[in-house]
Amino acid sequence: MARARKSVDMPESTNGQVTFESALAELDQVVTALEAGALPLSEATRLYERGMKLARICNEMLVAAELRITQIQTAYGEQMRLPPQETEA
Amino acid sequence: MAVYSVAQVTSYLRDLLAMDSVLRDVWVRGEVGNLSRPGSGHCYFNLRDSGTMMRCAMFKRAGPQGSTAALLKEGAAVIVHGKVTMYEARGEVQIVVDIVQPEGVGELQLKLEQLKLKLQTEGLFEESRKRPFPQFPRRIGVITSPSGAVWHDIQTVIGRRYPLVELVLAPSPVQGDGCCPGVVDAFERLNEIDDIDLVILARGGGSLEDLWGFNEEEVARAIFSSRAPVISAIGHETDYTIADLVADRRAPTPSAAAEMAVPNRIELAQRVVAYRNAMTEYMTERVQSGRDEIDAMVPRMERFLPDFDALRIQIDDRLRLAAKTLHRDVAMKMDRVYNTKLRLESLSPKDTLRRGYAIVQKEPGSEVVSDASQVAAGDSVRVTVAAGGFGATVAAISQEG
Repeated sequence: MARARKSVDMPESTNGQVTFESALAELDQVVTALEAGALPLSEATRLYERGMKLARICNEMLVAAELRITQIQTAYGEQMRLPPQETEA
Repeated sequence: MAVYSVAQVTSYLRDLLAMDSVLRDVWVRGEVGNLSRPGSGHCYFNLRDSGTMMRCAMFKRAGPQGSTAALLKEGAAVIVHGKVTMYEARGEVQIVVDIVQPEGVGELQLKLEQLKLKLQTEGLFEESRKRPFPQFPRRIGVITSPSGAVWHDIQTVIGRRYPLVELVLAPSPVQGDGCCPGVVDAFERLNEIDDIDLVILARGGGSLEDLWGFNEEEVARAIFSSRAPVISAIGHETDYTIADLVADRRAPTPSAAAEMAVPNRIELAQRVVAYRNAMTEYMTERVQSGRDEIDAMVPRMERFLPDFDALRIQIDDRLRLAAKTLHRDVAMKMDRVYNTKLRLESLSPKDTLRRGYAIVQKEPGSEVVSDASQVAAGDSVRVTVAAGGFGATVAAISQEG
C-alpha cells in the first residue's frame, strides 16, 4: 500500500519513508527469496544483510513507537471537554 | 351496461390495492393459524382475530427481517408488517408480510424494524459491501465521547497492542439529541481527511432509548458513506443497533473494537524473530553447502595436476646427463689446450738457437735480418743466440748465400 504521506512518529530507524508495513513486507520478500534457494552466494549474502537490517528496523519501530493522539473539530465536539492529560499533544 | 371478465376485475382490484397508501405499508395485529412452511422456505398462514381472518404470505429473504419469520408459530400473537395485495389466481386478498414482531412491542421497536427492512432492501447491510480492514493501519478515526471510559479504553488497548498509529478523535455526543447529528458530522469531518485507514464508532451499553441515536437512518447512511471501513461497538453484546448492521464489522465492546483494529506488536515481534532465525539458518546452511561443494571439488581438481614425482626424476636424470656431458667436454678441451701448448713450444725459435743458429736484428725488437741487402758494411746489428746476445758490426757484404 503506497501512501505518499510520511508517517512522522517513526524514529531514526527510518531513512524518511520506511513504514512498519513496508519494512515487514520487504523482510517477508527477503525471507521468501532466501528460502526459495538457488541464489548465488553473493546475492544470498546481500539479501541476508538487507533482511537483518529490516528486522532491526521493524523491531525498533515496534519498541520505540508511541501512540499519537489528535483531535479534530466537530460541530458537537466543543461542548465536550477533554480531560487535560488527553488533550492534543 | 358493461360486462367484465374475471381477470379484468381482479386486476382492477390489484391496482386499486397497490395504489392505496394505507394498504401498501400496514401493520396488522392478529393470531397465527393454519401455518405452513413448504420446502421453498416461504411461509403461509392466516391472521385471525375474533371472527375474521386474512390470508398471509411471507416470502423467504435473507437478513435480520427474514429471521423474524421464526416468530411465526401456530397460535402466536403477532404484529405483522407488509402490504395488502390481490392474489388473482384465487381471487383472494392477502397480506404479503415482510416483518413479524411479537405482540406487545412498543411503537419504537416497530419503527426500528421498519427502518431495518428499508435499509436492508436498499442493500446497506449487504455482506458483499463489507470492506476489508488494512492490516497495518496508520491513522484511525475514533468517533465517541472523549469524556467516557470508552475513549480511555480504546487508547489503552491500541497503545498496548500497536502504538504505531495515530488516533484521530472526532468527538461526538453518544446519547441524547446531539448524538445523531454529532455522529453524522464526525463522519463528514473524517471523510475530509484522506488518509484515515479505519473508523471506530463506539459507545458503552445502554437502554434502547439511550442507544436510539445509533438506530437513526442518518447515522446508518453516514456509516454507509464513510470512506474508511467502520468498526462499530455500540451497546451490549446482544443488542444490535442499525449502526452495527451497517458497519463493516461489529465488535461486542469498544475494547474489542480496538483489538480488531490493529495487529498485536508482540506477535509481530515474534514474526520478526522467526524471520531472523530463518535467515540465519538459511545462511548457515548455504555457507556449509558452499564448503561441501569446495571439499568435493578438491579431489576432482587434483586429478588434473601433473605427476610431480615423475617430473622430479626426469629433471634429475637430465641434470645428471648434463653434468656428465659437461665434464667430458671440459676434459676434451683441456687435452686440446695441452696439445696446442706442446705444438706451440715446438715452433719456438729457442730450440733452433740451441742448435747454434743466431738471430740478427738491426736493433733489438726490429725486423729480423734474413737478406744481406738489408744491411750495409759498418752497420751495427744485434745478434741473439741461445743464451744471451751481443752487438756486432757488419764487416762486409757477400751477395751469395
